[in-house]
Amino acid sequence: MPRAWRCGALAMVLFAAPAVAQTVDGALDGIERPAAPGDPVRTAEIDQRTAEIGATLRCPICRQQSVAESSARIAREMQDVIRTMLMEGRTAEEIEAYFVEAYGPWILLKPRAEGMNLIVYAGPGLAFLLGGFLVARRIRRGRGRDDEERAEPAAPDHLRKADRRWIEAALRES
Amino acid sequence: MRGWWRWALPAAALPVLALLYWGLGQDQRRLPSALEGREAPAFRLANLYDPSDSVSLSDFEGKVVVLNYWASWCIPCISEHPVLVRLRETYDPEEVALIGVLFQDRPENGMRFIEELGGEWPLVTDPGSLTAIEYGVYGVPETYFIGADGVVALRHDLAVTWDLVERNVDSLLVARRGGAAAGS
Repeated sequence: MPRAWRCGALAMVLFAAPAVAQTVDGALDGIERPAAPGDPVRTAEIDQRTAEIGATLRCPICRQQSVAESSARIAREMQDVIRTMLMEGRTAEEIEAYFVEAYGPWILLKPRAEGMNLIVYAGPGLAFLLGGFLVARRIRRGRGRDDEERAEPAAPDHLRKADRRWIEAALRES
Repeated sequence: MRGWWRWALPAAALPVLALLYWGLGQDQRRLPSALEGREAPAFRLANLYDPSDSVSLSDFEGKVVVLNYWASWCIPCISEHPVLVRLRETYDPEEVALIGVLFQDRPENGMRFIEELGGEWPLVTDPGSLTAIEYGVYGVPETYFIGADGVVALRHDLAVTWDLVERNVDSLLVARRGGAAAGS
């Protein structure tokens, strides 16, 4: 191969390489890359999702705190389990189900809207509706009474009319 | 008819009060176990004394298993330890297996604990508490009574007493012997 051709081929490869790399990167867009330890982007994402899932789970030791908030060792270990499961590609629902299977629904800081838990969810709404109904009923009755009172002449007028009628009748008779 | 709703408010409050009464009557320290009545999660854990050796739940298939989570730093574990020693001495190891899982503790501390208080049963470590979490362990001591069929019959989350151990192990042994007789 003449020297000029070889130089030309090398130049083409050098120019084309970034474009090819870009195409390959583009082709990989949207494809879930396996998480590698030390991958900073991936780790930050996993850490964020671990904290999000940890915030929904109750710490078995500090029961008023979430796994994400608690500094108890079991909470940290549970976070490690969440992180490992996320790295394995498990979904948040699968991870939640795993902990519910081990600890029961008690482990969820926000109870599921099912069974007896429905009382917790529907109770305030029902109480609000009942209260609204009672208040509306009271107001309606109050208004009805006011209308009745407005329709009838006031008591002193009644008396005055009666008195007038009696006086007129007495005058006619006299 | 007009005053029906005057009764509705107290009537609506009754279930709330009943729920409150029931809640206050509960022991808040006792926690529910999701595992009772379900198959015990399988595990293979390293031997406390020889990490190259491991102990698996399936090694004790067909036996009643008492799985005890403990730690050297746990005071109730010290008080329940004689009960576990008595359990090991009373029941035939061919029928009843006792496994101790060291929880959130250093192996050397666990070994020193056993040296001081005695005990001859399989002891394992659980790095990262992976098995403990799978069992839904809250703290130590916690003891799981597993039937010969592999189903968790009871989880006890305080120090075990001899009465509790005897009652549960005897009951599981009766079920095991009944199952064996039915199978033969």
